[in-house]
Amino acid sequence: MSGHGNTAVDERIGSGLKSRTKHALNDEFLRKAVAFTTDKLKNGRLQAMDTFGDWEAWRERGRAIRSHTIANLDYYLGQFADNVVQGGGNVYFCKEGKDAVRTFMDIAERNKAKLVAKGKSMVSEEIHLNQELEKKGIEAIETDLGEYILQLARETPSHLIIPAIHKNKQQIAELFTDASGEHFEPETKVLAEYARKKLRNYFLEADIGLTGCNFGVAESGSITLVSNEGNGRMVSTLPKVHVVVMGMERLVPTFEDLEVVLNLLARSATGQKLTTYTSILTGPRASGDLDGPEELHVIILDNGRSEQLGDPIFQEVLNCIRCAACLNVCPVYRHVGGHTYGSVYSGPIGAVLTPLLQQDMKEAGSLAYASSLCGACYEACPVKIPLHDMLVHLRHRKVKMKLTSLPERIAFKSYQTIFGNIKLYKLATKSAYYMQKPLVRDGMIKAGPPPLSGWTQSRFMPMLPKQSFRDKWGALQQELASRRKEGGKR
Amino acid sequence: MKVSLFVTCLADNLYPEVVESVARILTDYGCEVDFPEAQSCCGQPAFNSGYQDEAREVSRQLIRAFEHSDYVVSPSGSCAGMVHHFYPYLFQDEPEWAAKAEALVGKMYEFSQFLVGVLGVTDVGASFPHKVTYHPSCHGMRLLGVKDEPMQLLSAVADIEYQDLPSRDDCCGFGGTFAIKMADMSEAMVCEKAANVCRSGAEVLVGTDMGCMMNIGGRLNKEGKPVRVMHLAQLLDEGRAKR
Amino acid sequence: MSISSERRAPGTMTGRDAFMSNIASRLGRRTPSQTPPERPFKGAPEFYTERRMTQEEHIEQFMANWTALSGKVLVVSEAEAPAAVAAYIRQICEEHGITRITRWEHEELIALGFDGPVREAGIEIVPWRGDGADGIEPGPSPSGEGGVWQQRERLLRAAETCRLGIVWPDYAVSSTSSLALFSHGGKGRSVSLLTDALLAVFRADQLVFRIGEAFEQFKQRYPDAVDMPASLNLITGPSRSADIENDLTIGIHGPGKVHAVIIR
Repeated sequence: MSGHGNTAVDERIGSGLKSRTKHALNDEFLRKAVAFTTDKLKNGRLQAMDTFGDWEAWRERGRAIRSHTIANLDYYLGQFADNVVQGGGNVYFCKEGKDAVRTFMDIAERNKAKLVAKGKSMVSEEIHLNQELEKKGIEAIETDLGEYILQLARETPSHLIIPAIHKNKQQIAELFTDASGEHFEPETKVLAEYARKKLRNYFLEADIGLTGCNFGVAESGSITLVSNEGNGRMVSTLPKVHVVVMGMERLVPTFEDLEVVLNLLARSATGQKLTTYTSILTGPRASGDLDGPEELHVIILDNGRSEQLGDPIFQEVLNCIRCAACLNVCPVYRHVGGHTYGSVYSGPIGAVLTPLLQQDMKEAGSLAYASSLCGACYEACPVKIPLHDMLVHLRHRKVKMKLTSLPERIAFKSYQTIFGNIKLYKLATKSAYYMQKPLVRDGMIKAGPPPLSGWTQSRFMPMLPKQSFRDKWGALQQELASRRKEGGKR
Repeated sequence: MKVSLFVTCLADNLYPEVVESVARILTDYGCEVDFPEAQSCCGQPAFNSGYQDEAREVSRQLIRAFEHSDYVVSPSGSCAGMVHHFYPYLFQDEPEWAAKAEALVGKMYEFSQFLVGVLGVTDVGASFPHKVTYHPSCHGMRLLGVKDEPMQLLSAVADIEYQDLPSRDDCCGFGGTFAIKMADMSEAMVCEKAANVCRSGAEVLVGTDMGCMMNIGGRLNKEGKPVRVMHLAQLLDEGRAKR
Repeated sequence: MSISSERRAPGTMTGRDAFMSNIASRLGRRTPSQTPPERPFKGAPEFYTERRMTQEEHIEQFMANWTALSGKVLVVSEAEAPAAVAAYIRQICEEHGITRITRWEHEELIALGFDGPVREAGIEIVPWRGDGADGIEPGPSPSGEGGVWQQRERLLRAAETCRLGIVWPDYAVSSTSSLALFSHGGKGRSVSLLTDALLAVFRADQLVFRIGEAFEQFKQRYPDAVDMPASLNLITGPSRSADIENDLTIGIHGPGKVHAVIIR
């Protein structure tokens, strides 16, 4: 019962949205797991905010630092790259995903690599690196426990921070049993111990350690990696070659700024004060070091990010520090989980980032509709990205590009005509009163043709009363006049 | 004090009694209430669906309707929120209309915001001996900043038995066209909200947005749950009439 | 304490020009900016950076946070320290059946003089220095003789079989109960990573309030980025994961048992 298979990759995002939604809503375990996880993480964040104090001041500082960095990305990225190179690392700028993949493959080939140990890296999944490695016969092992479980199941992550929440202990035990030939009970301790031993061997034998980069520090060319498990440290310490794949926007100018984002990240993601391991790596091993990689390679990826620069509405999306606080408060995500979004990035940030990075308003752009625009994401975002507004602007983009259906465009043109003219408006609302009559049962509308059926599939609708407020105003006016005469509060 | 009613297309056509309650309460607290007939809709349905040009034209209508008003009060945090949050953006390329939009923003209030913040009233002398729970409007809270006012008004009502709503701040799943366009997602959200309302033990659900109330009430009705759903203004008006 | 005078040779840069020109033009500039942008502020808010604590408050805060993360902590006086640390190490080893430990080759740890007492208890010590694993069986390789691991340094392979690692952090952060470890030479990263248990010994006056202060010290010591240690590790408690059905596991890849000794 693997459940989700590769639907996230196979079906096109927009056209598959409804079916993936239905699928997710029917998966009771998934819904319970997602709700439990998001509640836990959300409450962790709320508590951490409380104890830290002055959260709004911190958010504003985080926003300011990230916005400043992005607005001056040419300067800071240049400074960062120069420092990495000065420090003995190699920098590769890659415009598209396939360039990054090719670059990685070259490094792997030069090192005759047979085994790559991966720390958690969303960017590497964005560029589908694993698939390419598999084709070339290079074994790539995910070492983050959740990602390792997913790798065995051949599935994609359903949450940014805890990727395998849709898997229960029974399923994990089965996966480990199949993979190892030994029998495992569905007990956390037993399963964790197996994963620990198995992954340890991979850490020791890997030719290349691959990580993402939580934050690059421009003033020193340092790479910051955070992890709770320690796998990030393992893959950047033991193998001879360390390759970093980073989104070009994952920077802060200085160590002082790093302090701010590290505080915001940990508290917003899980409610911890700091992730267990925060490693700030500057260059490959220094001479005199008896461990650490001999080679450091930093692949800096664009893949659609630069398209957002200079855009007054969307440039801010690059502020994201990938904490997933928005996922944990999103009522839509809560009910459908990550796979429904059909993309590496899910939840509110995923709904905005995916169409922008993929430059696809047609399919991916439909994700912009997967929101009631409640604004909880903006409220939770530690760097104050107005995701709720960005979703509306994405919908506008879809309209401007004529990607919406003809009936819909006609409907809203009619809306403009009717609601823009009081005479027509009054006429239309009066006719609506009469037109509803065939649908009314016991004073309510319980069923109707599309699009009304979207409402009535789960709700009743009140019927329009004979008299609108407009109709009653005359009488009300008189009532109010006599109330005023009676004088003041009653 | 002259106050113009921004009734909202929803309340105008489906819930006129809500606006009547608003009008009565404002009148009793010294307001001269009028209703500029030229108003229709804030434009949100089109705007939130991405049809900004269409929304803009309808918005002009609203701006014109209230051009001569001193204060504009609406029973909807969502509609007032639309004006505050997006009208300046909608008219940013038209200096004359941008100024008019800003002017409207400056005098536009949601009902509880106006009652508490401008009129300084928290106790309207109402009695409402029922178990009541309250669902906040997402847009009211997050676009307009209506935080404590509704609860302040509810807490002052005599004989009321207030029941906490579990996961109170979670969206009810209305989202305007979202409810129809993403019907399955909306259904999941409204079912959870309705279940929480029942869990609270309340006999009455009160809110500040008829969109939310129509949504949750519509679900409760379908489930056959005997929870009465009303707008805050109705509850206060009814509570005062009893006294 | 300066690092080796041998600096690393610079690496290579590929694909910079087109990439950066694109960014610059999107930001409205003809060429990528080379001048540091104006910044009215930097880093954390002043109400945070201006906070000061007494040493006692630091110790208390560190202890409260560390123990909340399931860490164990001992506070000893300068005079008691050598004996107390030696006894503590022996106690930890006995409790968990540990027979081989590794430690930083660090003058403060050496000065505590626990090597003797620990070896007397039959526990092998692998100090983190080039010859540290001489006379010790390094341990098996997962994939046997031809494997990658077999070809790594003897020292690294020996450390991997140790079950307790001992470090002397450069700084300790009280607000988060974090240890700040700057790597170099005898202060190897593996010592705080490969073992089941970790013991950190430090003086109370090495405590700072926030991680930013550790960063400040780091920058002061190494103003030139090319001289910076290859790794600055902040360790905040034991390794952990909740990836198995949200059930918390302590100790997955890094040490699951963390101990600290604070010397007043």
